[in-house]
Amino acid sequence: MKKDDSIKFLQGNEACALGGITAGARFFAGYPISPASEIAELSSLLLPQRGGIYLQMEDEIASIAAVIGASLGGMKAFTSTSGPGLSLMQENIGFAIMAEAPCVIINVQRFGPSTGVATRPGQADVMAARWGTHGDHGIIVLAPTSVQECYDLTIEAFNLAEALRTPVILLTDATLAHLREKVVTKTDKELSIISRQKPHQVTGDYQPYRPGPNGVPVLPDFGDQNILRITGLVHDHDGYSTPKPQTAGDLVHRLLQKIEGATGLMPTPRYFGSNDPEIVIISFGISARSSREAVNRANDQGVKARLMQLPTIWPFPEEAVRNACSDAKAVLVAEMNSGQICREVRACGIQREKVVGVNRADTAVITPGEILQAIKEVMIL
Amino acid sequence: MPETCKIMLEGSGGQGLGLGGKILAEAAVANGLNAAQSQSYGAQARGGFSSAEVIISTQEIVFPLVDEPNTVIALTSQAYERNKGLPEKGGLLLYNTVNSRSSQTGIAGRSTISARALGFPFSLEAQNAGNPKGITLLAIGTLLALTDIVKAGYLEETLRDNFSPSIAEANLDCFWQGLTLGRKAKKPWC
Repeated sequence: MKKDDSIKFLQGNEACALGGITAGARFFAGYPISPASEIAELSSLLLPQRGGIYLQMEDEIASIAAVIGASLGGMKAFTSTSGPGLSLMQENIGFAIMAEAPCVIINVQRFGPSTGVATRPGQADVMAARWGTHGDHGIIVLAPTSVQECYDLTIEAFNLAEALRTPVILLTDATLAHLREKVVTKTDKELSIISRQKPHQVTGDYQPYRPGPNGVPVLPDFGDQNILRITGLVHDHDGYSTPKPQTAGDLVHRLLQKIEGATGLMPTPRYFGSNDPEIVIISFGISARSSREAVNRANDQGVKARLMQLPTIWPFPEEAVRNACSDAKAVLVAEMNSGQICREVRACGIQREKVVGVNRADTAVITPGEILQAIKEVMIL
Repeated sequence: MPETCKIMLEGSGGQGLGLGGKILAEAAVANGLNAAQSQSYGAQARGGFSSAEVIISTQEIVFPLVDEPNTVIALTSQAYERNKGLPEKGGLLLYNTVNSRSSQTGIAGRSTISARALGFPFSLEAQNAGNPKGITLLAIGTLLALTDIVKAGYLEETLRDNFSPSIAEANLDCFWQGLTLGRKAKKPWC
């Protein structure tokens, strides 16, 4: 019985920690919270073994601040939390967006609002992840549906963070966090790992915040010969703060555009079921697993249904959603909240009456049976 | 046996249901099968109702939670009562019987009631093995002997990976005792 060491049996949380470390993360700062704590726990074990640093902070505000500091010092850095901690991190997530500090925030969603139910899942942080921090901004949010995807998408989150110099949020949930499944792991040499660009040399006219390729500046690390000025204020290409409307407008436009213009780098929707669907189900995270089972059962019963699973939630894949839904008789959106993605689907310009939410906001995972029932109900209409 | 086993391990806190479920699922993966395991988290007092769920399949596991189990190990009366209708639906129920006054957790007065509802003195056997906490692994041994879901060798190997050597030996004794119990019984799918 020879063991294949690349095949592991892991919890979602463990897969996130391993994925981050495989992606090159060598710094983690966090504060324990159910149902995310195992990410910190495993990081505290593995990072020191790999020359990395684990810091347990006094709270989530300090955690994200330490992560931003480590990132600006040149390390790939991440933190993990759940809803109450995400709320505390919002101010500094905005700072990381403005200062262009790459980092990954893993938010293991639990039932909310507030402290809600600590051990039960929710999917209601979709809008908190998008709009939690103030001001116009772009953000990348990825959502895994399996333990394998917890591993894969954490690596992807680091790649996007480093390529675009921006925070990336991974949205998992309490169910995925504690679910154990088979994971095929890879070494960093078997993967395409992106590391951030750095300026080559000191030159007299070096401007750290001058837009580089794809609008992403090539910033030095703290401590390099090139001086790095960091601020959350509107700043010019030299990094000096200024209130000039032109500078402010250009900066915010660039910060939005570098994300919106890079959707080609982001994981694209996955489709399961009928190729010629009458019913399209749009879902993400653990609800997408229920949806896929419901689609299988519907297909077995002769109903042409198809699942569109969204690994990238923000930027919202508007064009793909429009294409997927154009010929469908009905579109179901399955999510464990009161309709946060459903609202986005409608905003894509799909006929309002065609889009039906399948929602649970009561700490329970939506079952395949419930989604199948919803499919049957819209077929009758 | 079905190509997808949706297994519930039910009993009371302290019986090692969560860890037993994890070891069973991990062994299935080592055996080249697909597996998913989860358990209820939260404030579960020792002695209160507790459960763990495991799906083992030769196929890809699409929905990873047990919506309707087809295999249940029930270690307490409460767990038995919750699942006693399962054999009528074609499922397999292995339950803990009481053959000893010292056993607190068994189900009194029931012997095997059908080919798919099989009673075994799991508590008593675990006590006799000197390891009452090994009850879940003992029952898993019986399940594997009856169904061949996972080859016993993979479970033994996984068990050794999950415990220090001395604890592993005590648990292996329970597991082997469970295998012996199961091998003496009539296979439910034969």
